[in-house]
Amino acid sequence: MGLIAEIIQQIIFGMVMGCIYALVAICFVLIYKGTDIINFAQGELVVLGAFIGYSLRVTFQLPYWLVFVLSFILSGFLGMVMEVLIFRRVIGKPHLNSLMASIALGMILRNAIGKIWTFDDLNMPPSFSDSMLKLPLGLVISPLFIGIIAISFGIMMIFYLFLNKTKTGISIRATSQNMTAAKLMGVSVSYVSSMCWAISAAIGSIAGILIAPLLVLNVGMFIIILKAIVAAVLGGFGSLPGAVLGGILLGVIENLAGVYFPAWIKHVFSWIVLLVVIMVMPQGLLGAKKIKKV
Amino acid sequence: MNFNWNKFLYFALAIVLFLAIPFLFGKYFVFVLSVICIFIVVSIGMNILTGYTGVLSLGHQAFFGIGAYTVAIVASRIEGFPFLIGLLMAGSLSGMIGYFMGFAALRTSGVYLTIATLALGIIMEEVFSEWISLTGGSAGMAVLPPALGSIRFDSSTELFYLISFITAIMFFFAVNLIASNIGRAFVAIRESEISAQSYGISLVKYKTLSFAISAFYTGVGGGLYAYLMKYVAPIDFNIHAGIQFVMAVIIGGLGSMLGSILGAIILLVLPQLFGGIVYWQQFFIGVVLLMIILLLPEGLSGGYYRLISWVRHRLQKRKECV
Repeated sequence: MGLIAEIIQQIIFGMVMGCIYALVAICFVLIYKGTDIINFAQGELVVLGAFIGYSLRVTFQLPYWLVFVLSFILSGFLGMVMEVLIFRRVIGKPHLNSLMASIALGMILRNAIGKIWTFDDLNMPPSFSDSMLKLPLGLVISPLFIGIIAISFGIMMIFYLFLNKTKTGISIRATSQNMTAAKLMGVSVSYVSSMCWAISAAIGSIAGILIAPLLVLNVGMFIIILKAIVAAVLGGFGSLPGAVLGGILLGVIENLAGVYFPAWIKHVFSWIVLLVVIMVMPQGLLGAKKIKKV
Repeated sequence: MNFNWNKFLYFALAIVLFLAIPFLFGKYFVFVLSVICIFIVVSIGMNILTGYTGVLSLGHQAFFGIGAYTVAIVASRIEGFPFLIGLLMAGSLSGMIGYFMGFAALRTSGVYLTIATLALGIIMEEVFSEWISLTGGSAGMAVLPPALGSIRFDSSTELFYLISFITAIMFFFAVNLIASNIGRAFVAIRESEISAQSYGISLVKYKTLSFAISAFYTGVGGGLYAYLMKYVAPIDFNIHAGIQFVMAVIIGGLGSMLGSILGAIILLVLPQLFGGIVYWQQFFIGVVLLMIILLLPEGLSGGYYRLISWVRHRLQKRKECV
């Protein structure tokens, strides 16, 4: 296999993880824009969704399309419950409170998931066949990869239409621009906040179910998912197209780094990218420069 | 100037009682007290950065680890290495890295900075477990007991005296630092960076200084931890450790020295209430943390001060009625 072919192959592998990063980065950005909270429990929400999917698939033996629909609804409901119980109370408080609240929620979720299911590793059955297909130039790809990329882009398209065409989507955008003005225009801010959490948890669960067969499904998976925050920063926190771009870019960069650097660098490479991005261009790729007002 | 004999007697009595602790209680209790002392040092460091300067760090486990490994390496390579110099080295090295982290702090603020510190913590954990020639990798390395020439601090009692003495010094310095110009500059930056700048407080100078001092404290705490545990491994310096440090100051109370002490004690005592089952401990600590954030955002020390002022207020009212 030639050098070019090998690079293309690695880019395809990177795209798969990149799509998952992009989905989770969208969740980060959505909650940040809608409620001004950075949700450090997002990784745990993804893991929770994956475990729900595992139960539906393995214990109840449901077909995969039903697994996706049911875990989307169930996780969305759970996300809404978390918002009503916890995060509605910290909106508008200092960032420190909401950050710590999400970290506390993460601790609770991690240990609750471990207690309800298991702390051990599980093998998630893949949603599509994971046998490799041969392509010209010696490239390989499996239906699972194609499925992950296709479903991710499908969700992004639906999400885009949702934000731009539906009333709820427009009120989310209005709230993210100016919470006070949105309130005055009759937008229910608490409804928007609930919806943001519900959608984040729901999209997170899909991401979790998709990626779990490629990783090992266990509670510790949240730390891998948390790298999506790097994608969000890379794209410029607060920009949804930026989150998608940043996610895919991060997946590809990380995978290429894994090939050309020692293995341990791969684990932390995205965090090194994050430090560099924050020091060199804090506004990210597509984010607007923030001007502080007194 | 008249010398206050009463105050002196109380002080002397407190010191004598303190010195008597190892003879009154068992070995385990003394060990737990030593761990609490180390946590107090770390949470003072956290509080200087998070409570007084208003920067939330999720990467202090990196500074803790740098301190611990510095001590572990010098103590195991050089026979009878003076522990005071070892601890100073631990503090200075992590203080230096904290100083550079402070420059990142100038580029961004708020949550971005928290994410950057998180990144530092994760990177350093990987460095600890991969730089095998220096740190022994994930198997960890043994630490020789603190020494000063030929004197060795071997037993838990000696270690307890050593650690509590250093904790007292660190506490004394922190209280004075907070009351000084520097401490007031930190608080001004916390309240508003822009208005602090307009009063002539240099962000470059004080934010990096706050990071450096905070990292210094955490590094010294890490050094003491290495001496006490006699063993260091990367698993002690993962992200969960960093979250614990933040929890200590949030539960204890931000921007309060009493809070640092309360937080350190609570964080070590609380898990014991839920038996030896780790996930129940973690689960309930999460619940307690959430309750504190929602119901008592100023932490336990804030609640304590509020209670005191409420009681005083009631007493005064009663006097007026009589």
